Amino acid sequence: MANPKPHLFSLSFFSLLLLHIPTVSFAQTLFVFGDGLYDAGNKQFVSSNRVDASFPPYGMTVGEATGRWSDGRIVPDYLASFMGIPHIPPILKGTADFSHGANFAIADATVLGSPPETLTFSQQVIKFSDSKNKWSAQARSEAVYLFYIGSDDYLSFAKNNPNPSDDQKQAFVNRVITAIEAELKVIYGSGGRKFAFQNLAPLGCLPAVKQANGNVQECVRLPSEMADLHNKKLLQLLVELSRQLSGFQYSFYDFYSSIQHRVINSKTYTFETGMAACCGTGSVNGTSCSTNNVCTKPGDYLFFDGKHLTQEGNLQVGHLMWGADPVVVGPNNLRELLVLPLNTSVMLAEIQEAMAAVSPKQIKIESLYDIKMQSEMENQWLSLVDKAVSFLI
Amino acid sequence: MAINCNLVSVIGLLLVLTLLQNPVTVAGQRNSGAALFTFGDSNFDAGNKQTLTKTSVAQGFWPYGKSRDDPNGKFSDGFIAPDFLAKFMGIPIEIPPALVPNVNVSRGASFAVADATLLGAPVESLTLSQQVRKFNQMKANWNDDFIKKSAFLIYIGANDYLNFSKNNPNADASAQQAFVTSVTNKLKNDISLLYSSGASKFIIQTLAPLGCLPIVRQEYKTGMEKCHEPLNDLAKQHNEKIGPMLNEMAKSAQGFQFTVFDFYDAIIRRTQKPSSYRLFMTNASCCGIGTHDAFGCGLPNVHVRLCEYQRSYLFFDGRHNTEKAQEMFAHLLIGADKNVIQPMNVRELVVYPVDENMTEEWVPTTPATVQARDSRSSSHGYESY
Repeated sequence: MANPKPHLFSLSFFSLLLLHIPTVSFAQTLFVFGDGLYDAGNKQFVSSNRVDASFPPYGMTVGEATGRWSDGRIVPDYLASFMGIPHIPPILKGTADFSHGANFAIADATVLGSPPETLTFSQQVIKFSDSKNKWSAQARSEAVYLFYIGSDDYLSFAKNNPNPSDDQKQAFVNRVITAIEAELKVIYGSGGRKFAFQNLAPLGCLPAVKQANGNVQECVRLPSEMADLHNKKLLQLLVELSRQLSGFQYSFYDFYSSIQHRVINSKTYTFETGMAACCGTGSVNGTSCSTNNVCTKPGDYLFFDGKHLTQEGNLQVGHLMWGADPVVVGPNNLRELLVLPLNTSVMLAEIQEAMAAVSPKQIKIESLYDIKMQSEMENQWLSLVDKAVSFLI
Repeated sequence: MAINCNLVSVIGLLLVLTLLQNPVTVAGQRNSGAALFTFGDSNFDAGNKQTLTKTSVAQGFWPYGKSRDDPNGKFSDGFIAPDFLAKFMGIPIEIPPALVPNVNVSRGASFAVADATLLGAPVESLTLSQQVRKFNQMKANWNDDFIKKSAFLIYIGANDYLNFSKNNPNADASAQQAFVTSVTNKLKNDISLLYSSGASKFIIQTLAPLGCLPIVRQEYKTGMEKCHEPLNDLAKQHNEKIGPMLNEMAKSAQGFQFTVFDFYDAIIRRTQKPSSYRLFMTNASCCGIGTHDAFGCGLPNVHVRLCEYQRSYLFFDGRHNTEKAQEMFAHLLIGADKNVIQPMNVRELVVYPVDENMTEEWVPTTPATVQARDSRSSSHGYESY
């Protein structure tokens, strides 16, 4: 006998997730944390040396070097545009307009340790806490908190530990994840509820890393492996937090796969190459970007310099984070995360748990289509749907 | 004593016979064990086009595939309707392009090719009859029983009318009629070819309102509110002939089973009341340039506008639907009522006993038939299994 309930469930739930408001999104505030990938100009305020990103050819595509490590816009800029708000300024630029949030990211930031001339993740969160009265409690609870952090931790680890055992690798990842967890809880304690994560790139594919390891063709194994271990643990952390912390909502974007696709099949994604950077010297232009060694068409390249993406790369990432399917960004994309009512997250956590219970083999985020219903779970889920549907606007 | 033994064995025999009678009685829509074969044009092309041309095809590049970060030759931001329909039918894989070597065709395949037509000789493409020939060439992949119980989904004809309209802008009513007749006759012929190859379950998707495609609105400069009505007209003339044609075929061919999916109305409804379908933009594309953002998605030297939230658009490029819309159509195909797909939906078609003639036929939708349908009791011959 045909059982329409699974389809009804997925349809209803998707209807809930796809509330489309044509012009205005709920969240109008964006807080950004991370490293050079998200730095919008903080580095120059803490560095006594010349900061490359504050000078051409950085910013060449938009006619101005703003301290962003790219030829143009970075991912937070695109996400802000999609949200309908202005680009989020760097927190250390005192004169800026922070009415829609602030960017705490800074090049060379790490989770662990205390590297010079930067702010660790913890220091960024302290800065956020110190300045949080710039925003109302409501703005802070509706805001999206965006994170990209950890790459420099693993690049250092790989450099200092060329042949780690599996235990050592896992132990280091655990340390990083534990530290991240602590910071997320601080933000949660200040009222933050919507957490958006870009997972780590396959670090071994960065031109700077390939170049430093002598081998230019293949991605270097260890840094990518560390990133992969980190990404798996990070997702587990987010699922766990969504169960532990009431109202915790998240979006987990698989940047790792996006970069892999673009390195292996560059042309499919409109890039001439995913190997060499647009700007720099060496076998894959991985270091010392300057006006003397920059390409003519950054849009043809995935990487602008040895570690960071071109504006074109960032644009594609922005589109993926904002609106792609759960196979790319889940359980919600940014658009859905924005409009998700603040009190529906408990159901999401329960459903995630039920999904995991039914299909223990899956590690990847699956689309909600793939919920395999056992008849005894149906009633529980149907009652959740009823509750969820009642929030439909 | 002897009589009782005989009775028992007779009853026993009867019991066994009834059990063996209809192996497909279970409405096993999740594990029907049937395949899905698709034929037609770019709507169902799963990646075949690239095998027929040396130039790179736009649909093989970003931003196609943007929802899944996987440009794979499908004209969509992700899956197409057959992929969702396959999932609903219990098929665990996407329906692969048959012309690409080494793909898994065990659960069906797509023979559709972009630019396909019914008539003529489309460049770097295959007409429907050529697609049927290809199917025959590959028949060794499946056994005859498997083919007989599988679903054959066909969407073809759009390019015939788009070309006709471009080449004959001032065609009068009788010229149009003549053309529609030749196109639909060819369709009937090609379906018969498939039937002779062993197929028995046909799903024919009627043509979209071709005048409402963003690329058509853009090319004919209709503005934002209107469609290009002459093309809608041609599509309607074509669609009107489909049901009666299939009724006729069902009467004269043993075991010929079919259903007609009213795609025309599905699109019209979505353009008339977008918000009812959680759609925001139905008259322009998500990806492209021009008045309706309809041209050039995926082309190398065209800097297209790309919408940020394709899930609220009806069309991804100038004439192909977004993944979100394709998912909706698959839901309609598998399980909608007779006002959408008739005489039965795909779930019912797939479990309908093989080799049996259908008891219902396609009926033109008039107020009278709608009323008759509603008032009729709910016991249909095939539902009582």
